[in-house]
Amino acid sequence: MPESVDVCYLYDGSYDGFLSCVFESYRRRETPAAILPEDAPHPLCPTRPIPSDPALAARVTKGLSEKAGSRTEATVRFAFLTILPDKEMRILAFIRKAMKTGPRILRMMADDTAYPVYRAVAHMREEAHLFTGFLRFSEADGMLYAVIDPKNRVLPLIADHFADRFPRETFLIFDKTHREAMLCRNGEYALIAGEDFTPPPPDRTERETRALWTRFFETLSIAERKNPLCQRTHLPLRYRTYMTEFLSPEKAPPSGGPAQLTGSF
Amino acid sequence: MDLMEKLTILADSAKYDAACTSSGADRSGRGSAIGSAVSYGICHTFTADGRCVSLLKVLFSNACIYDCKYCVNRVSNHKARRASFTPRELADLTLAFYRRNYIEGLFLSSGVVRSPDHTSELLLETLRLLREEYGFGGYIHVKAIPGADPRLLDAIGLLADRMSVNVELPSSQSLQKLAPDKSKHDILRPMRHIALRRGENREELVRYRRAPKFVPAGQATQMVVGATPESDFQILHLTESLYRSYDLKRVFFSAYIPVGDDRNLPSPDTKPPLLREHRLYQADWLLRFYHFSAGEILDEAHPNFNPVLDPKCNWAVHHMERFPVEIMRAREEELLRVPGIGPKSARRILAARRAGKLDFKAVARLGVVMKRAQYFITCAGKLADGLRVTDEAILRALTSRDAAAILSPPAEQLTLIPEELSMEDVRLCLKA
Ligand code: SF4
Repeated sequence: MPESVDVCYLYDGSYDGFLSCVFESYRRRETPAAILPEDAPHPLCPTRPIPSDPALAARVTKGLSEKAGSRTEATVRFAFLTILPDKEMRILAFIRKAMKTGPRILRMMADDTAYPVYRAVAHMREEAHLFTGFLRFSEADGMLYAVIDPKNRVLPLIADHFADRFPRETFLIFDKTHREAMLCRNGEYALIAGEDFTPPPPDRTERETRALWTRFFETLSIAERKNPLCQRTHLPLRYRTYMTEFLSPEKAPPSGGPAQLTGSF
Repeated sequence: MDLMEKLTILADSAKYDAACTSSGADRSGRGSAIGSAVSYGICHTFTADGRCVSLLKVLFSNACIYDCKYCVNRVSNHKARRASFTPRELADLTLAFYRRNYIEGLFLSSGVVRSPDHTSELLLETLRLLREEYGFGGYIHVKAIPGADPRLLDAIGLLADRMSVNVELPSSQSLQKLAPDKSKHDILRPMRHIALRRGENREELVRYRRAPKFVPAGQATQMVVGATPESDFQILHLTESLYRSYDLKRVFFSAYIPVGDDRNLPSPDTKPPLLREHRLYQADWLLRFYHFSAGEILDEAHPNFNPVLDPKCNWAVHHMERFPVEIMRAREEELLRVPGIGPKSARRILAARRAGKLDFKAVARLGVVMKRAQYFITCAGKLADGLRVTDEAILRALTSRDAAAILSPPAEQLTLIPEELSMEDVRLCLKA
């Protein structure tokens, strides 16, 4: 890595913003002390705001794909959605290494720079995979709604799966952690940053269907083999917040009037 | 009878069935009104006993005219409450669950209502509603009814993703004793028929890409373990030959849970042989993903599984002359024999070593369970630093948690391999 300087880059939190910082670091041949979203706790070192520039971001993406392959580029894109600690600096180091090694980086799974990035992406993929199963829709007025609270920003990873599975439905998946929604109609979808989402109250059909499912689920358990530990290993408690079969009817998610998605929609 | 009650009875009667996996079929939802299938399988929830729930697994009806001794639905069990869905009810329920992402699809079997043909027609009608009327593209697994007309089998096979015919018991003598209405012939005939149709279908698909697919996710079977006297060796041999002769995708085992006190059955207070079932699944994985043969895992002289060591570790400690293997040079098959290395980590090792030298830290990062593997591998010709290789240390490292649990009471509180296994589960459970 080039010379370290005592400056913190500040960016707007977007992926383009981050790539603009990467560009800046290359342009100045320097390694900043940190790269932080503007709204992060104020750092002690001198700061430099880096404006988000889609054109520069595109140049970084292109350079990386050409030098290290499109799978490496995708890894970087996914890594940005993870909860990898100090992810900006780690991804910057990863990009620098990948620009040197080329596509070979993908095989360097145990490498000190690459390994934490791969691990974070694998962790996110695992979480996304689990949500394709554990996510629950409710129906109201012919539309489907779901709320999830993932650690990583998994929406971009699960969107294709659900769009493909329900090509004729209109549905919404709200990521409560990152306040982001996927809106899908007839197989076409968009991801939108939002503020909040209130699910509509369940109508009679919805309540009956939930009750049938809950009964089915309870009937399946074999009492002689009860094993909460094994159940927890496969289905950690944190996933159960919005899962129909773990909600008692009284504890069903609170809901006000009609469905509401507030914020910048 | 209302739907809630029917569902309760018909889910309860089906729950001991082990074969609840949705894997093996890949189909985009774009061609259908609703639903897709993904080949790696998705678990939608886990029961209190830790098993994956992927499909709406129910019997169509439990009003069975047969009298299989090991089954709660046998006609002579007068205590059983009887219920049947209508095809429409079941199709609607499947769809309502599917839309809410509760399930990947339907797993449908049934007791024999009136006759095998009549029952098969009801199943066929349910599938027809789902696939043709509702345009349902989700996963469907149907259990064939032994003794039904092959033409019905063909029609069902064109709408289902997977079909299975249960072997039921590990030998024909046992079958005669415990399932008097079913003959070996009744079971093997549809299995052979499905295997042949699948073969023909593969050729049709080569010729016309759009030919309808017959049972695209393949055929499976299941047997009850512990109701009859066969040894593990016999069961594993049967399993191996079923894979070979009938082009099967999966063989499932189900530990016998006492249901009656027929004199041909184990006494009603017998505990279900869970560890045995668990070991059979482990051995089954070795057959399918680790290039083992049944004869390597067990033999006439050792016809039963080691309670303390899983089958792979058991093999390794009896073949210490083959170890240690060198991480930078060993072939994939050799790596797969190392306790603590699975198919995924073996593949990672092959890829990573082309990019550079691997030391022990690197090997651990590739997902290898070092606690076990360290005794069986070298990196750059050397064993791990400070490792003391004694028989006792090796055995201690390999002794499985499940066995430790079974040797100290409460004996039946095991961490079981769930019947539905993702590769991730296998990694966890084979190495647990
Ligand atoms: S055929 Fe035998 S195993 Fe199947 S439901 Fe009837 S009695 Fe039970």
